[in-house]
Amino acid sequence: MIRLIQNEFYKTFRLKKLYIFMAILAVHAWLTVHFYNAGGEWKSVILMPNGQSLPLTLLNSMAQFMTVFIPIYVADLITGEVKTGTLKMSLLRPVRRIEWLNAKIVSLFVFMTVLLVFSIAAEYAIGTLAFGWGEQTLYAGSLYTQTEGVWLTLRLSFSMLLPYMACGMIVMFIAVSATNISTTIGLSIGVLTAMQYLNAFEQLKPYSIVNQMYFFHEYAYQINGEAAAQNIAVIAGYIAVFYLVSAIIIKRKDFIL
Amino acid sequence: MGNKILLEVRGLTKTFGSKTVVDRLNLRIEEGDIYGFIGTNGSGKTTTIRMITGLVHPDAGEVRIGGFHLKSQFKAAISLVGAIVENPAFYTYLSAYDNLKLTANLLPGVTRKRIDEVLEIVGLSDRAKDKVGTYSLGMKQRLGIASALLNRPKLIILDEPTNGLDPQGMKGIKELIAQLAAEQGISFLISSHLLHEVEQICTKAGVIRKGKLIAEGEVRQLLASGEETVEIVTSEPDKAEQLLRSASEVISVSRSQDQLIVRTNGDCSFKLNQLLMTSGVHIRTISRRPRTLEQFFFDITEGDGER
Repeated sequence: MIRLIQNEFYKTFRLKKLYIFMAILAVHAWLTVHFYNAGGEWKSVILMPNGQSLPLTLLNSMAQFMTVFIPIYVADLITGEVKTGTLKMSLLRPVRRIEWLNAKIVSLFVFMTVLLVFSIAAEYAIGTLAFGWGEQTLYAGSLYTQTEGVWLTLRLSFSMLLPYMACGMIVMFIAVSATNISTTIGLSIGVLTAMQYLNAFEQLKPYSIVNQMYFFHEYAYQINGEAAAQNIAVIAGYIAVFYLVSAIIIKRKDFIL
Repeated sequence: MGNKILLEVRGLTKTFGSKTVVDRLNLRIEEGDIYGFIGTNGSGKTTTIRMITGLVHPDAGEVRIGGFHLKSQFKAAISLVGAIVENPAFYTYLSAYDNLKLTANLLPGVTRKRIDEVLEIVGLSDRAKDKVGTYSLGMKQRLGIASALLNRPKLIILDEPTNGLDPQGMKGIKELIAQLAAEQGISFLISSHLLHEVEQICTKAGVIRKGKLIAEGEVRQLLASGEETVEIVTSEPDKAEQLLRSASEVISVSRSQDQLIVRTNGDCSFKLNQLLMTSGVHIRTISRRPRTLEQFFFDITEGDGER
């Protein structure tokens, strides 16, 4: 299993896509800063122009990229392997299908973590280059010292891995069911886009994974026990259900490669 | 000989929708066998191989490899096998060496040295660092065999290994199989619809038709059994033809000037010779045409299916 995961890492870091996604995130941060410099607050989401506040300012917008990056990556990771037959490189070896799926999930988690870490680092760097590091971190109308600000940034950013992972599991379910890459990408982006409309219904909003992808850090920030538990339960539910269904599909699937 | 059984398939059945693709198929491969699995396209060869390697779940029946049950002892069973199913698939953006390294990672005890060895065996050492995307189909087949060899398997399963190859590539693969069987004692299960190819390299053969195994045995025995074709050249073809048509062993006689092609239902060229001699027919030459696997195949399948 560990070696299978090592293989997945090796392949992931050899993929051009990962670096293209990183470049897109960096360009996005740079454009946000550029538009602020060009037109001030009314042209940008930046409220406190300093390097230490930028990652938290842009945390919401990371979701819009992840809803595209995750389907593209998972389509390549799962459907692509089935379609091109490279799946056989693993399955014709002493590897159980469930181990193969688990290795893919670990790979997806690492992919999301790498993008998240890169985006925080890039936003700190771009923000600092443009405005300087600054004295305090602004988040949700409150000001924090530098140390508190960095800790808050890391805590809230990494908490977002939970909803991203739930999104990844939905896409993974689509990927193991679909027969080609474009179906996986198209259907996943379609489903995730459709889920955004759940936000229009106040009662359904907490159950929308897309809503969680945008705003989970705000729930995590509040540290209100009951509300946080409810949101975590919703996300964990998504992860558990879609993992289970994907595992059953993979186990039963006939690979006509 | 009582050789050890490497692969045993019993009652294997697979249905897709309403179509039974493989129907209660039994197969047995012993140590040292090079087993040709022959059938027309769509006869169920690849589905059988997919079931043997665990890619497709059978509806009924069981597969044992080296005595291990594929379903309940998958890892132990598959560890004895190296396989190329359908086409060899690799990550085209990686080099041959890197692809083999990924596979080797999944196999306990396979070292870097072994990767170099298998590349040497298949003659790809000098292209090992090139991306697989730049490889020809023949080179990919060779790389597939290299990958199959990594874990020193007892049985290698090759699904249509010469499909799409040019004559030189086909020759290379056949030579490699023969070399591996002779030098490393590896057994092979080779599916093919190219009968000439099977006849050249296989020691045993099984014929699958509409999902059922309709004939199986040593290639020599299969060719020796059943019908025989005798070619006779005579100065009295009319008289000879008349006599031959009356013989009970003769199935058919075709004629081209003074040459007669006689299909008989057994080894009876001697009898035909005697019949013509005693009737005073002057025979210039009489010879048995060696039976080919192709003839055998068409005899038992009545030439059906697409080829």
